[in-house]
Amino acid sequence: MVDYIIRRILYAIITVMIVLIATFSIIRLLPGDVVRLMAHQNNYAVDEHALRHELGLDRSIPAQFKDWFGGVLHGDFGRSLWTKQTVTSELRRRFPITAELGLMAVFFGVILAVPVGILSAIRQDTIADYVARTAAVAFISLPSFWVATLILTFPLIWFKWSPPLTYVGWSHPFAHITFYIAPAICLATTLAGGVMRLTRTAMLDVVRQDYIRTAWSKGLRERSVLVRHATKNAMIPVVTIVGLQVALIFGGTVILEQIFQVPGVGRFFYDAVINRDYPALQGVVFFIALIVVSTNLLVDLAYGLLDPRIRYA
Amino acid sequence: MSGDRSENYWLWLAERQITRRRLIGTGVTGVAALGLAACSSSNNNTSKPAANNTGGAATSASGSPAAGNKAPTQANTGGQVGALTATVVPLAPGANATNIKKGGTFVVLNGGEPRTLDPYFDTFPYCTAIADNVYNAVLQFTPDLTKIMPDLAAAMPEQPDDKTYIFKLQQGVKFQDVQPVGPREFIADDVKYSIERQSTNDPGKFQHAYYFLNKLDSVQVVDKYTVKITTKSQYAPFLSYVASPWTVMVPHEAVEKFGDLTQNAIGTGPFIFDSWEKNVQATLHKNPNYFRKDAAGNALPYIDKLVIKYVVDPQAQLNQFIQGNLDAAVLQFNYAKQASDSVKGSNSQAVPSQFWKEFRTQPWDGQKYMQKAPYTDIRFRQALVMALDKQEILDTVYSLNGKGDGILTYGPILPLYKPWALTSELAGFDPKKALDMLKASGVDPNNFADQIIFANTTSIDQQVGEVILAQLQKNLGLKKVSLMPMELAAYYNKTYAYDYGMSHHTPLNSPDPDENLSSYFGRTGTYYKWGNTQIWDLIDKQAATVDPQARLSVVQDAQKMIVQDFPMAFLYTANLHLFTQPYVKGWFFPQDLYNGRVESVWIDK
Repeated sequence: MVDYIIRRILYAIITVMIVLIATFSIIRLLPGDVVRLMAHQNNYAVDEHALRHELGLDRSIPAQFKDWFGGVLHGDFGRSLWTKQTVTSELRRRFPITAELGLMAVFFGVILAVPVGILSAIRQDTIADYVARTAAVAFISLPSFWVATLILTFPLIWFKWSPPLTYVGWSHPFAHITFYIAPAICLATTLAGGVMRLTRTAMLDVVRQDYIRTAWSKGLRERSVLVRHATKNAMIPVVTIVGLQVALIFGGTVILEQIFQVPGVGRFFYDAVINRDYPALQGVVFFIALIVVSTNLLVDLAYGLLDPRIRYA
Repeated sequence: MSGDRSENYWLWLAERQITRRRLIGTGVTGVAALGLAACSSSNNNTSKPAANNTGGAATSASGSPAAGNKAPTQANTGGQVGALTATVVPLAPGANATNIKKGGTFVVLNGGEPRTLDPYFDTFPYCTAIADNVYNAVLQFTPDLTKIMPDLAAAMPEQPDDKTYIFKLQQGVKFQDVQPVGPREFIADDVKYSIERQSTNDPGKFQHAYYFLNKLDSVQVVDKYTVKITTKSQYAPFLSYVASPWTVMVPHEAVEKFGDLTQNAIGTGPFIFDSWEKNVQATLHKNPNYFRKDAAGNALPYIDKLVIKYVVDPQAQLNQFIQGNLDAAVLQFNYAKQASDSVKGSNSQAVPSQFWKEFRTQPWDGQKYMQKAPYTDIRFRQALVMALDKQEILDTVYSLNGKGDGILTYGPILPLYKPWALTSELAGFDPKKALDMLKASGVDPNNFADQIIFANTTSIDQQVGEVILAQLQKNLGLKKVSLMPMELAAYYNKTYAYDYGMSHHTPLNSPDPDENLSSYFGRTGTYYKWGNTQIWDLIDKQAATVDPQARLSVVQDAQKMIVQDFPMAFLYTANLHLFTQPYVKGWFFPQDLYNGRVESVWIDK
């Protein structure tokens, strides 16, 4: 078991390092240059070389990487080239906001997808099943930003109403919660589509197992068979998949945070890309990679604990 | 108020029992206060600094001729403009001593966010929304950006010669009562400190150093309220740069304590900075010691709290305004009708933007960057420029109520900057002449192939590109020209390599002609490059011509020479649409937030 844990941790470290190097290199290969973007903000003959030197971008990429990585090891993600603020302080402020949005999206996604997925399975090939399956495919297919635009546009035209678009802290709890509802529902739709289909499949698989047949033959009520025996087991892969949706949630927030004015990590990431703010971009990607890799590591370790066969795989 | 519950919810919950009583009390107190204000106006006047009574004089921008090409108005003898004095702000139309209501919160939209609060570090107009309200400069532009008037100066500077400016400052002006500055007096040393800080040669930070760096011979403190600034040579844009919203006066104590002013702001302005919640809003509250009063003697500002909301998405901006979460907003033209229809009684105003549209041909400087054929042929460039029907572009893309929502431009200076701008077309739409020029240049329209690059930041950019392309195809038969939309950073990478044949571009115009001429067509321009040395000489000449009338003549000559060399088509500037809720009074339109001070706004509800 110890070997297994060590092996997994090593894999995680290697993955993070690959992500770091890839991020560091790829953003510098993108067409567009932060110095020229900054030069556009100046009038007259700004000395590009002096500016590049000032920002430390005239050194070799390995030298820049070494400096930045040295900082990361000490918890310093560097400073934004534009705002001169530390990336760490931005992440510290923004991560709870995005995490809250993500959790709420998972909550909405699960409470919608799981019951519908179960219903779809136990009423297989009925109208309810067809409707649920169609809805699941629609949820997966509809881009969340498009749903978001509809949510903003049509209620305003029809009812002169719009979801709240100003972030409010916990000092106003009701306003705080209601602010998240619209973006969370948009984010939840894509998640719900996948989870709905997985729940249905898992449920169909479980209800055909011998122990379920035994439960029926013992004369247990439907509710007892489905809730106590079938659903409990069908949820194992579902919970795993939901846990692994972290990357999807972070990805989904990038555009949704723009549309709904959420001051989270996604918006920070978007601005960093547009402005070619290398330290900010590296910091965000590294941070997200760290979360995704950690989540995967935890799942791997949990599998190892739950299923002895995996440890020796 | 926009329903903005400023206090903490939990406090509000605990105190709501007394809130109703407080509301009634506030109403009574408000009426009483208005009465007192009216009665005490004469007393207020007696407490003004001595310099108030001198009255400030306004001069046309940069010591320029007054609008309408009238006789020159020297900065040191500028004509009196009545209420436009340094300390007295004229009452808004319809306002009098008794109908102005005090208190409340004013919530205004910002379509983008400052990168930093330090106005010396930023160039985005979004920064000025806070800076204009926290700081003052020595001079300032009038709201229409055509004149310069005193701000912290008691009057326009004396000019004993063409290189010397003596600024007399108002006495008794205090910095805001915020640590580490405290309510100490604003004095001449602060001017010297601020001008010298603005001139710091650190290109990664100080974005406006070019205003004064290597241009000034000395900044001398003559006495506590007098500063003498001497330029190295005649420097016509000098007063414009002193009046720039980026040249605000900052206290050295704040810079010394915080290292810079990226997260803090302490000045002499009407509002005290409270907080900046990134991507959400900035909050400021009234400076009770602000030095300005209105013409009726009321202390300014009227409102207690200013909230600047950052809403980037245009649809979200509209939603917020219609729902009453914004008291004032500048909305995109295509949302103007819905805003008017939805908010009954709202006030709206269309004003030309300082951002405008141009169609560029290949840049060159004659040294490092060279033109390629056929752009070297003036007849080919003329054909491109005259094949473009700018009115049609405006009507097609910016159609509002069946009409193009904007104004045409005729040269590198926007018409709103009177009197510098050209007022008639020198290279207008003429498809027949364009085709003749194309034939004369020998370019085969069936074989000429190139791209029109542009930054595809909004769908409007794409639409403008498509109309331009259609016009070039229709009027010149250029079948192999195509559009190349680019992501913003990639686009700038291309434009700063001066590596393109054609582009359509959206630059920002500034009140002083020098910024618009030098940075595009001047010897050291970086936004664009045009290697015509005769144009360079004229641009240099206008920058060194302090006499306003003589400068106007040179500026006009330079523009005509530029336009008739056909480097680009100067197309149009689209309108911005300012909306305010029916209860907002006394707000003037800030030109792209170049002057966003809201000291005389009040909430009538």
